[in-house]
Amino acid sequence: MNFSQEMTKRAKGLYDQLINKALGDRSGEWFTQDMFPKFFSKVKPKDYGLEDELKTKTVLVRRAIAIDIMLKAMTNPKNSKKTHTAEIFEGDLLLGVLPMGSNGLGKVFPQFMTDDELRAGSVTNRNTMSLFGHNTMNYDKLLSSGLKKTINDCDKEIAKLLANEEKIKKNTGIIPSDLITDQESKHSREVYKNKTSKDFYVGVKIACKAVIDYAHRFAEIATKESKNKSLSQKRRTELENMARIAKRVPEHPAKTFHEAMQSITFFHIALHASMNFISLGRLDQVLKKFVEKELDKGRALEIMECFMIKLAGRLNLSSDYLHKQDHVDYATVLGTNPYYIDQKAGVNNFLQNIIVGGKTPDGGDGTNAATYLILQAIENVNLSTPGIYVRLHKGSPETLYKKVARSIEKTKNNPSIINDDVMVEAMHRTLMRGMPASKKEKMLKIARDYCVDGCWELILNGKSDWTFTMFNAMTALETSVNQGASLSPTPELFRGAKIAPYAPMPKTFKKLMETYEKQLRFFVDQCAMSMFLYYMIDEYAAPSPLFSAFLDGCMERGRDKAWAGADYNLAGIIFGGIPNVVNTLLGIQKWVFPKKGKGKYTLEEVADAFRFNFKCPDPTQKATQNTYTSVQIDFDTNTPKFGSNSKEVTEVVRKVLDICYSASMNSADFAKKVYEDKPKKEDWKNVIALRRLTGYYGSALRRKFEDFNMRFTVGLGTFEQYNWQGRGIAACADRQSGEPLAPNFSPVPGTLYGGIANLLNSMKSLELERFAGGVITDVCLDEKNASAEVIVNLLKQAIKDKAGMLTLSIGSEKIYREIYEKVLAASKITNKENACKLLAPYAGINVRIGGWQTPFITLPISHMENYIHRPSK
Amino acid sequence: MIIKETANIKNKKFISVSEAFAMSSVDGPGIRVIVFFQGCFINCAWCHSPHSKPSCSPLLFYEQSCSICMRCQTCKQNVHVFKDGKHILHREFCLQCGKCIDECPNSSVYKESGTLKLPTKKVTAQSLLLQLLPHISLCDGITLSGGEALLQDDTTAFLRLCKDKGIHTCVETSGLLESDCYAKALPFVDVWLFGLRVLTNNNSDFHTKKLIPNAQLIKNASKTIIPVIPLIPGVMDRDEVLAEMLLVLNVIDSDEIQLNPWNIFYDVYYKALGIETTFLKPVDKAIKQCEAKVRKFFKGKGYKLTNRKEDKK
Ligand code: SF4
Ligand code: SF4
Repeated sequence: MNFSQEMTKRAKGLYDQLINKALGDRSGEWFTQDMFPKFFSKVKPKDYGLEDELKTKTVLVRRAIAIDIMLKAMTNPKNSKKTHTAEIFEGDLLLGVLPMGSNGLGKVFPQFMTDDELRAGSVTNRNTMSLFGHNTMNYDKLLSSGLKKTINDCDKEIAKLLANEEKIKKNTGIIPSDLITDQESKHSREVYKNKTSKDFYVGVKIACKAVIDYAHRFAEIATKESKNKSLSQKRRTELENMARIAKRVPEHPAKTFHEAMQSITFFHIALHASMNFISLGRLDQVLKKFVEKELDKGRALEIMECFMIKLAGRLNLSSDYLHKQDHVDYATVLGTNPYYIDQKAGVNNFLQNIIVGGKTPDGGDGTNAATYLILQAIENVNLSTPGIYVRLHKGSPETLYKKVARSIEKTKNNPSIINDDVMVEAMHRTLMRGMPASKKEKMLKIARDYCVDGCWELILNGKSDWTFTMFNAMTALETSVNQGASLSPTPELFRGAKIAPYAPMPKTFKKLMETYEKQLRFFVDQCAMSMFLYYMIDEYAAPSPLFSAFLDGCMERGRDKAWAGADYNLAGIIFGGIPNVVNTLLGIQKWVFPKKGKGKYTLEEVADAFRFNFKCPDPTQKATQNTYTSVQIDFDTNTPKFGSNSKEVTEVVRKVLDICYSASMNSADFAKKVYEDKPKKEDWKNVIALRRLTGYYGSALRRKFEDFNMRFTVGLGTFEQYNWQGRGIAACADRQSGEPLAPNFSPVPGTLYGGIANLLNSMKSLELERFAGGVITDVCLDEKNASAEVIVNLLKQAIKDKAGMLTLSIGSEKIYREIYEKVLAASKITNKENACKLLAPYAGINVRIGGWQTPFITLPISHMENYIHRPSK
Repeated sequence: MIIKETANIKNKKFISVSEAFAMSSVDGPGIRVIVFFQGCFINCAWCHSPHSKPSCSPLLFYEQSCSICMRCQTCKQNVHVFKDGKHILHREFCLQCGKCIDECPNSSVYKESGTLKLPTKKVTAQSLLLQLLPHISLCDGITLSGGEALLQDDTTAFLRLCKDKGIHTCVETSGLLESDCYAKALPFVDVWLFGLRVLTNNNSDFHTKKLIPNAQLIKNASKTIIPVIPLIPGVMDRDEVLAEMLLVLNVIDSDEIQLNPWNIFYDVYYKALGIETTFLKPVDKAIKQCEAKVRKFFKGKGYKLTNRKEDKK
C-alpha cells in the first residue's frame, strides 16, 4: 500500500502549532478544581436520574457522574480560554481535545470521594487519583455497536435486576461484601451481587451518555464555526461535515473511516480525561474494514496524521515550566504504599500505545492496509507519542519488514518490535496454567490477540484487566551477599537494613545461587500477595464504568473491572536490574568462586567494596583500599558482561531467569491459595489464618466471584525507572552506588562489546517464551551502520533468535553529546525564551527510555548521561 | 566487535586478526562484516594502520583516556614509566602478557576501546568463522582486509569455510602480493577490491608490472574486480600515475572505479604506537583538489566513479 511519505500540509500546520505550544509554558492550560461544580453540594442527582443524595451513592456511580462533569468542563467556553479544550485547531479533521495530564505530571479530575473515604484511603494509598489505566478496550465493539446500544443494554439489565430485587427482598437485608466470609449463605451473596450489578449498569449508562453529550457539544461548536465567514468555503464545508459526524458517533456505529476515527478520538479523550490512561490496542485490526472501504486513501492518511497529532496534544518540550505543572497527588500509583516514580522521565508519557501487525486469533497474519496507514502516519508525523509497536513473526510479509525498517530508519526509533513467535507462546502458557488441556485451542486464540499496555507489558486486547508490581532484582542480590540486610554503609545499622530474613554467607557459587533464590522468593511473595490486596480495594476507589463498558466480560457479568468483571485478570511481576545482577554474579563467579583454584577475593571483601562504593571509609587503610580498587577494576573491566554470547554468560543469565520465573510461579500459587482458591475442607481453618496474617478478613475470591482467576505473568524490564531504581542500590560490578541500573533487559550502556548480533544470538537459549509480562531489550544502533537493509536483517535475526521485544533507536554519541551540552548551556540562560530557542532545533529527536519514546531535550540530565553511551556498532 | 583469542602456541595453524566490524556498508557490495588481518609488507607511505604491518601489533596506548593512576606499573618489564606527570611507554621491552591491561581501570580485553590495547588475536579458521557467524547473518557477506589477508597461510582455509557455508566473500588487496597468493584464494573469493597502487610512495618505482599479471589472473578466473584508488594527494593525482593506472584498468576491464577518500584519522594509530608519521598530512584543499583531478581524469575516459562513503569511525 503506497501512502505519501511526507507529512500532509494540513498535518504540518497542526504539527507546527503543537510544537510551538509545547516549547512554551503550558502550566496555564491545566484544569483547576474551581472549574468543576462542588460535587456534593452543586451537582444534582436528578440530572442523572437518581433520587437520593450523591454521598449515598457508590463510588462507581459517583465516578460516572464525575466523568460527565469533567467532559462538561472541557467544553465550557470560559474554561477553554485557559485549557483550550473546546477549540477546533486550524485545519484539524477531528474534534475533541485532550486536557493536560501525563504520567509524570499527574492528572486533574473532579473530587467525588467523601472526606471519610479520603481519610480511610490514606492507609491503603487509595483515592480519586488511583485509577491507573494500563489497559486496552474493545474498540471493535464501540465502532460496531455505538454507545446507544450499550445504554439500551444497561436499561434491559437494570429492569431484570429490579425484578430480581423484588424477589429476594423478602429475606435478609443487604450485606456488605467484606462481611461475606467462606461461611456466608448463597442468598446473602445474591443480594449483594444484585445491588452492585445495578449500580454498575447505572454507572455505565451515565458514563456513556456523558460521552455522547460531549460529542454533541462539539458538534455544536463545529456547526458554529462553520458559519464563520472569514473561513474558506472548503474549510466551512469540512466543519459542517465534522459536525455531522460528531452528531452520529460514538452514539451510533461508525460507517466510514472518518466516523470510525472520530468515534475512537472522542472515546479515547473521554477515557484519558477521566484519568484512565489506556492504550489503543490493535488498532489496525479494528480499522481494517474501514480503511479497505475508504476510496480516498490520501484523505485517510490526512485523518490518521491529525489523529496522531491530537494524541500528542499534551506534549511538553521545555524543562523550564515543569515544576508549575506538577499535579501528581498522593495515591496516584499502584500499590498499597506510596511509591515515587521518576516524574521527569514520565513528563511525556501518556500510556497510549498502538500495536499493529501480528497473528490473528485463528493463526493467520493480520497485516492489512490499516497497518501500513498507521505506520505511515507515525513515520510522517514522528512525534514521541503515541507509542507504536509492530508484532512480527516468521510469516510476516516481507513488505511489512521493509516498511518497519524504513520507518525506523526515518524516525530513528519507531516502531518497536514484538516477536509473535515468542510472545504468543508466552501468553498461551500463562493462560493455560492450571487449565485443562481441552482449553488449549481456545486459549491459543485468545493469546494470539495480545497487545501492549501503555509501556510494553503484554495484555489481552480489550479482554483483560492488568495490574503489576515491579521488583528490583538487585535488592535480593544485596541481601544474598549480606545475610539478609541491604548493603548500607551507615554504621548505626551495623551490617545494614534488615529487609529480608537472615541467611548465612554463601561459601560456594552454588550456595550463593540457592540463597539468591530464597531471598528473591521472599520479596516476590510480597509482590504477589500485594497485588491481590490492592486489587481488592479498587472497588472502593478506582472502579471504571466507562472503560468497563468496553472491556470484555464486564457487561455480561454486570460487574466493573474493579469487581472481577473482566474476562481475564492479569497480574505481572516485573523484574528490573537483571543485567546488573548477571554482571555481578559473573564477577563473583570469576573472582570469588572460580571453577578452579582459590578466589582472588572473599565474598565479604567484595560485599564491603560494594557497600562502601569502592572507597575505604578509613583512608589510612591502604591495603583495604587497594583491595576495593582491584575489586572494582576486576568486576568492571576484567569480567564478561550481559549481552555477550559466551557460554559462561548465557549460563548465568539462564540461571537467573530460571530463578525469577520459578520464584514468581511459586509465589503466585501461594498467593492464590491464600486469597483466591476455595480452600479444601481440611485446609479451611489454616487458610483463614493465613489470610488474617496478611490483614485480609474476607472470603476466597473464587467464592465471591465464581470464575475469578488471577493469572500471573513475569516480565523483565525497568521502564524508565532504571535511573530511579539505581538510587538506593549499593555499587555492583558495572556501576557505582546510586548510579542507574541497566535499562530494561538490555546491556549496561557502553558494554555491548560483542555487538547486536551476539546479543540477539544469546537470547535463543534463554527460553523467553516464559515471560508473558514482557521482556524488552533496548538497542541503539550507531547511525553509521543504520541503513534500512541492515535493519531488515536485524529484525529478521531478532525474530529468528527468539528475542522477546526490541526497541531499536538510531543515534550517535556525537548528536546526543551535542544536545546534552546545549541543555547544560540552556540551563544557565536566565531568559527562558532564549533557552527554549537554543533547544528548539532538537525538538524532533526522540529517544527510547525504557517504557516509551520521549524527546531527548526533556530528559533529566542523569538520563542523558546514561543514554550517550548507548549507540552500538 | 571483539574477537576472542582461541589459538595458542600449540596450534600450528591460526589466523592473526587485528579488528573486525559488522554492518559496514563501505567495504564491498552491500552490507559487510569486515575483518582486518594482521601483517603487511607493502609499506605504503600513507598507511593509516601501521600497527597492522608486523605479524603482531605492539601495545597501543591512547593517551587521552589515561588517568595516570600508574596501576600499569605492575608491569615486570618496566614498560610503563611516569615522568613529570607524563606516561611514557618503552614498548621495546614489552612481552605482550596483557597484565597492564588487566590492571588498568580504563582498559579491558572485552572492549574495543580503552587506554591500552593489544589488538592482535590469534584464532583458528573454524573459530573465527564461528565467532563471526551471528554477525554475518545480519549482513550480505564478509570482506577480508588488513594488513594483507592473503599473506597468512590459513586465510585460504578460512575462505573455503566461508564458501562451504554459502557466504559471499570479498578480499581487499593492494594487488602487490606474489601471484600464487591470489591463485590459491581465487576459487573462494567472489569479489576483489583491487588497489590501483601503482606507487606506494613518492619515490618508489611504478608497480604496474606487478599489478597487471595479478589483475589478469583474477580476470581470467571470471571474478568480479572492483578497482580501488586511494585518494592520496600529491601521489595518486600525478599525471604519470594516472596514466599508469589506466594500463592496469585496461586489464581489469571494469566500467566502475571506487575512490577511497583520504582517511582523516590517518595519524591515530601512529600516536597510539608512539611513532612518527611517514607522510605529511595533506591540507583540506589538497584533498579536494586530488579528488577533483582524479574524478575528471577518469570521467573523461568514460569510467563511472563511486565513492567509498567517509568512514565516520
Ligand atoms: S603487556 Fe605485559 S609486558 Fe607489555 S607492557 Fe603490559 S604488562 Fe608489560
Ligand atoms: S593503568 Fe591505565 S589509566 Fe592508569 S596510568 Fe596506566 S594506562 Fe593510564
